[in-house]
Amino acid sequence: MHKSKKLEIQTKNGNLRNATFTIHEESHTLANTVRYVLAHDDDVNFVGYSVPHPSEFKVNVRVQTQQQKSSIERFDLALENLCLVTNSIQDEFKNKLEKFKEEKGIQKEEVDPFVISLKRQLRKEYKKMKANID
Amino acid sequence: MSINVGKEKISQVLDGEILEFDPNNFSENFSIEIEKLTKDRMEFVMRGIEAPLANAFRRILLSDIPTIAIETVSIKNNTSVIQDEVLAHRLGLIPINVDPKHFKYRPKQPLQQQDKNNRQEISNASEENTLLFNLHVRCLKKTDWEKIKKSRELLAQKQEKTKEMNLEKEDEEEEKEKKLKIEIEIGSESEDEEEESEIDERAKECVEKMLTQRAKTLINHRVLSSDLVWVPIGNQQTTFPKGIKPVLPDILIAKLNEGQEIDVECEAVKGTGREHAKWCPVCTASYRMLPSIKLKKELTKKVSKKLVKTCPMKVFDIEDGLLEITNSRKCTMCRECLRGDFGVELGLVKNQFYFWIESTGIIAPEELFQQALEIFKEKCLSLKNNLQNFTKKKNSNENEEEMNFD
Repeated sequence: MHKSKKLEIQTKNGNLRNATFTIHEESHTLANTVRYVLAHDDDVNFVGYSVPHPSEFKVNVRVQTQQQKSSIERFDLALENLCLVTNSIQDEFKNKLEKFKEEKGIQKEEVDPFVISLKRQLRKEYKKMKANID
Repeated sequence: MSINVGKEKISQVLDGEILEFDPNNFSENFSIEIEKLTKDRMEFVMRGIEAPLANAFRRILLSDIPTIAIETVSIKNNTSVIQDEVLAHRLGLIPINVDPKHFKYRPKQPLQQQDKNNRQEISNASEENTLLFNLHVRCLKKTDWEKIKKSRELLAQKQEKTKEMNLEKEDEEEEKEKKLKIEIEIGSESEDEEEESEIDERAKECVEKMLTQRAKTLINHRVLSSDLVWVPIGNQQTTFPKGIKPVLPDILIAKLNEGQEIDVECEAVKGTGREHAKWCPVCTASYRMLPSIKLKKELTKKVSKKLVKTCPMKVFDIEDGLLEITNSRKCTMCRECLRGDFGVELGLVKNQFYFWIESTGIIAPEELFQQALEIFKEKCLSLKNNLQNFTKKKNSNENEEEMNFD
């Protein structure tokens, strides 16, 4: 399938203070996160998102800003902040993972001794059967 | 949805807790603690993050990380009781132990490429995007199999006389024999003669019951995932010198009776969980919020003892005569402690998440989480690029009502 539009922006008379972003090939995964970041933005008056229909793979994000601020800029800033946040999560996870592996290493699952014995008996039986065939 | 009119209003919406989000100070409040890490499962706690982000990672783990699974099954012969489509469905669900990074997505062919005159589909399959597997199993009686073996021995004797001419034929026959034999993977543990304990006897009885009459008189009456044989195409033999197998060798695909046969060729392709659950790299990835338990009033000794008893998960304990919350992590929010008049306040800490990731075995769980973070960043960056292109275009086209762009 030829992939066409990713992003559409709808404004009234080109006024960028209030805009609806229609993002294709996206779902709650990204939209809820962007909405959450924009909600904590002091320059943003209103932010909300919706999935118009569950069969269609797109979301609408509505952003309304204070005077003289562009909603596109705010959206852009929100995405940048998300990238920064993800970077710090990645670094933290890497550090903690290395520490954990140094200290404890990859642990083994605890298995029921009955299960271990069962597997051993099965192996014996199957070896016998294979020997009979060969 | 939130209306940023005044912070007092926000506090009403969030139950009195104002959780700020400051991307610059995020790393100060954020921490991860890994609790458990095994080959297939990872459990860890994230503090200082909120539900939208944690949920985004969980959703990506379920639907956006690519793996490889069987997609197309060409059935040459299926005389078993399992219907063709059911067999194909089951084959698709078998996890295949190969790193999907080596492969590309197979492009879906546009209709124009189908040669309508010859009714042959020109496929986009290549060594870069497809894995081939063969499954050929025939169920026979042991006695019949011995007859076949004897006749083959005779043939082999004849062929030994004319070795040079028939070297190639012998190789073919060996391959056929291998496919018809039982291929049950025996682990690397050595056979030690150990003392028989009670557990061993019980296990023996269990095994006796499992080996039914059928298993004793037939060979190959169970078709297992270990019977899937990888067929390398192109230069795949050099990229995967150790071979490609399913993650587990003893997944039961079908059961056969005497004379039934399954002869099938499978093509495995890269995909994501969004399209079909067989491509999902996790059994499940889930999180829960850590509970917050507060004691609001002082209790007498009698009442404290009662409280310790009422909690089924033994969250409370009396140490040095004082009631303390020792195992708050074990709390399952059953609300038993709220029934009596103990003054317990139960809640969830909205920025602490206990995450667990159970992998199917294809990709290690710690790598899965790192891939999920990468994919999330890619999504944000690609959307950002689109936005920037949009502003460039807008600067050249002003005064338009609706602006669309690629």
